[in-house]
Amino acid sequence: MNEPARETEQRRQLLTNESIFRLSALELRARVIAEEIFAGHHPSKRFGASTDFVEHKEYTPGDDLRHLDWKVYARQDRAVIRKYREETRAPMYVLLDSSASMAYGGDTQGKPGAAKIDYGATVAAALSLIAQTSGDPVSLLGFSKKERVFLPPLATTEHLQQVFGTLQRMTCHGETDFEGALNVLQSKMKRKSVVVVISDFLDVPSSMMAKLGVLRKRGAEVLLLHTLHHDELEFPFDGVIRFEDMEGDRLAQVSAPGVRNTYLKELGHFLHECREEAHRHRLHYFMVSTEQSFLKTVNQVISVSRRFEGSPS
Amino acid sequence: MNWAFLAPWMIGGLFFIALPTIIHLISRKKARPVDFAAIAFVLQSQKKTARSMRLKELLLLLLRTLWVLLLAMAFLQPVLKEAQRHTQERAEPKIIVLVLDQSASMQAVVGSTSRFNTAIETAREEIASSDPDVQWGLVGCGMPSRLSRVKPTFERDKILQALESLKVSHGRGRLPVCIDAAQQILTEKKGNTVKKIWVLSDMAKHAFEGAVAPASGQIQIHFDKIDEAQLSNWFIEHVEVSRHQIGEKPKTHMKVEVAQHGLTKASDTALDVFHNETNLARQTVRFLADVKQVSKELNLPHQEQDPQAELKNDTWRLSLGDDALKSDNSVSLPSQTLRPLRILLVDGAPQSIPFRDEVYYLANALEQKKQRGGQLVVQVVLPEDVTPTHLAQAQVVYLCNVQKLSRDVSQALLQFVQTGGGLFISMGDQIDVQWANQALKNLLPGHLRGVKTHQLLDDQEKSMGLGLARFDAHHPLFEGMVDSVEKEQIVGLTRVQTHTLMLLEPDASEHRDILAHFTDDTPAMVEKQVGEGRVIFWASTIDRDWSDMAIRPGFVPLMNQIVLYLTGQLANPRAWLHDVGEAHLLLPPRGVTQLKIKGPQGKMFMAKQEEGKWVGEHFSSRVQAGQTQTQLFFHRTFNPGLYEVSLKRPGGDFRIYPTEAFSVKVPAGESNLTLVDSVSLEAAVPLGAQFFTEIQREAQTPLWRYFLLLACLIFGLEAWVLKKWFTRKR
Repeated sequence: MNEPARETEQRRQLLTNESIFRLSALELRARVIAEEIFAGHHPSKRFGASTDFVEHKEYTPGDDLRHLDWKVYARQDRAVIRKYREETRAPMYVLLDSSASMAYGGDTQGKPGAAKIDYGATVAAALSLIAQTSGDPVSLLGFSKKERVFLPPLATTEHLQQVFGTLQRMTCHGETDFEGALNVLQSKMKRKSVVVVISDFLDVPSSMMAKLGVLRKRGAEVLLLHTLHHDELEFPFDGVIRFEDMEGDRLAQVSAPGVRNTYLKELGHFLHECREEAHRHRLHYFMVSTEQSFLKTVNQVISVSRRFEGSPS
Repeated sequence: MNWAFLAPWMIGGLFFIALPTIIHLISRKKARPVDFAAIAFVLQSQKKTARSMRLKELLLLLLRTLWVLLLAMAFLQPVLKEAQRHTQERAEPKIIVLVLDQSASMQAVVGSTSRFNTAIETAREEIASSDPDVQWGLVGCGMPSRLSRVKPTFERDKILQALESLKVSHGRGRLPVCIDAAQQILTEKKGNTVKKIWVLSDMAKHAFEGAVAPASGQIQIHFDKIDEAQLSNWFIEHVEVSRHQIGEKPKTHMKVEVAQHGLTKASDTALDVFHNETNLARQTVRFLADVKQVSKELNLPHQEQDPQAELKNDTWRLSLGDDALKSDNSVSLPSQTLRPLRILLVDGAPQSIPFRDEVYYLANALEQKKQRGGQLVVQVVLPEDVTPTHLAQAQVVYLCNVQKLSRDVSQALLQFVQTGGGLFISMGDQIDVQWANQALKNLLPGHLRGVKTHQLLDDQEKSMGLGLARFDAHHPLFEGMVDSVEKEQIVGLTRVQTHTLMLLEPDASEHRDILAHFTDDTPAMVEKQVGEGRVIFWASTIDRDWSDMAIRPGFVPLMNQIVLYLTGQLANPRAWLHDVGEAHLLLPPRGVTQLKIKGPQGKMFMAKQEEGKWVGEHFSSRVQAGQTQTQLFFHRTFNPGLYEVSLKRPGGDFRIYPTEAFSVKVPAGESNLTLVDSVSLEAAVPLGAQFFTEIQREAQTPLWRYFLLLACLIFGLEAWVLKKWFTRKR
């Protein structure tokens, strides 16, 4: 491993979720993550034609001489025109679940930013910043039954600030409202776009996957970030616990170690179903724990969206 | 086979079995609330696991309750009583003789009741509830000399009345003797009925000394322990009292041996010294569990003597703090053990130069005795200063070269000797022979004839004065001083030279003994018995004027022996501290015709001389061969404490003699409350000697250890269940 690569690796190791959460401003968090994503690269705004070469074409009068391949002309005395892949501007729609269940930050009190909503908002902010830096318009849709916020896709800096502000102010209330959110999205979404859904998908009807599949059919690349807290995944409770529902009034008093195995089995079954459904509808599904590195999560999303952007339109 | 609990008062511990249920209920109420997003899965899990969880919780509760129950049971100290039968099946007895232990150890208190009272209560209930066709007999098992017997009878009232009249003794009890007595009673009962001896005792080991004699007939022996308590006990085992000098102050030195039995952990108590109920000293006695005996030494300041104290009730008492058995915690001391011997030296030729003084050497000799631990108080007075009071306070009087005494004093001196005082008379140039022969007629061992000087003009011959010869080597005065080679010589006095001496008229009185002669066969040292007292006459001076005996090595021991002999302590070294039941030896002085002993509880015991023999209830007498002194034994030493002795002469009144007082304490053996072991029991009641006798003993298997072990196992199982089902795996 060469020196710069080692430095990058060391920096990434220092850049833990905890250290990112210590930054109170969401914008700062997003910038730290984005900078790390771009580390080693020299991002520049690229305007005009794409640089991705596709094929040669015989020159015909009227063609732009700027695209004439002078090297071929010099070697073969033949005038050919270089053809490039056309670059598209695919807007990114970030859907962030703001139902009450997303406020779950674990049993440990006082640990800042450990809630699912905080994790989701940070990822959303980082994705927005990266997209805006790449010139892609970003749209934000926060949704729950009590509150729905929609910011249309724009690529301006002011818009990005608006996205950050909205995410920062976002609070979790009531039950989730996937149906309403998808209805809004379908009405607003352009044909080719990237849709990132950040949710815990708890108490979400299975038909939602089919509706998200409709978006896929309409040309959107749908990424599901199934965000769950570490406690929900591991169930690390001890003793007799009275569990209280965050979205309703359900109660369960159990001896936590006694039900743990069954719980984990049930949860595993649910996650498996979610993954299967997503695959069935050709959706990109990522199981994300709140303890998973932001860089990894953001990278997963970016790699998928780049592939999508790179595909011929 | 049946159960019993050694610590039934721990029954309250069983309430703890409710503890797991209470904790379980409280913990359910105090469940920690947690807001949880994925509650749907929890609810599903709860639904699926509800049944198995209930079973697991029930099992956990059961295990918890069980180990708490076993632990509580272990604290009750359960034992399994198993009857061991040796010869034949036990049949219902028709004649029962109750052997009730009355020994001092039965005074031990368990809870708030003495074991003796518990035994009486148990026996009363058993007798009252027995079948009417059962005959009951009784053997009260106190000191072997005081067994009380009631022959088997159908009359319940009679047997219960006899039972109620039994009192616990302070002496040693021997169960084998009592069982023998019971067997004898049963053997007298003819017929083929089943007979039983029911022994109700604390089963202390000391009670099983000796062995049961074999008996014929079908007799069961059943031992019953009063209770299961393991008691510890401390007691005063031995006391030594002496007087010694520390600096210039005389101190009374007490060496007290304190012992304990059965202590399982270190414990403290206080040792108090009381003089007439005034607490003079207190020391802490620390017992360690594995140390049986502790020796404490006390130095008490000399108590100023009241001249009349001799005639008063003057008691000393050592006392320990309370324990299970209180009666062995105190010992009374007769005052004479603490009182010094008071010696009056009448100096007939005082000199300003000390070593020329008549009593200089004598006083120094007695002083040496005092410094070596002797209890002596020496007072020197001039002849004209002597009063009858001086004589009354003294026990030994030395008349050294005394020319004359007043008439009153002469008469008081005679009375002093007649009532037991000791008198030593030495000669010198001041002696008025005429006066002495007249005034001291009854005291002198013979008429003084006059001074004889064995002195030649030649100085060299002077040094060849008269030596001492022909000592009465068998006289107690010279005990331990006789030369091993020259049997009639006294060590340290062989080279005594005497040049001047007082001659005595020949006398054949039976009360006169010549203890030593000069080498010219004239008497040198003569003893005379006067009434109860003794007189020793020394025919020369006690200083160096006529004889050099005072500077010879044997002088100091001889003077000390004379003091002891004249006070009667040499001839009669009698014990002053007895165990309950032991006989006390009394040596009534000549002339005494009646004797009275006052026990610790105020009870009087009289003995009197009738036709030359001593008679009295609880007394026995004998005269040893070759001696004229009557030995009188007092047997009724049944209560611990101080016994005062009073003597009476014809025409006189009873007078308390503190020097004759003695003390009685609880026997040390009774203080050991350790339970009898199987070996001692086998030895006391041997199977081979029983013939048709069936011995039933109860073997106790302690179960509490198993309970404790089981509780630990179940506790471990509970921990495993808890970890497996109720604790998160990490």
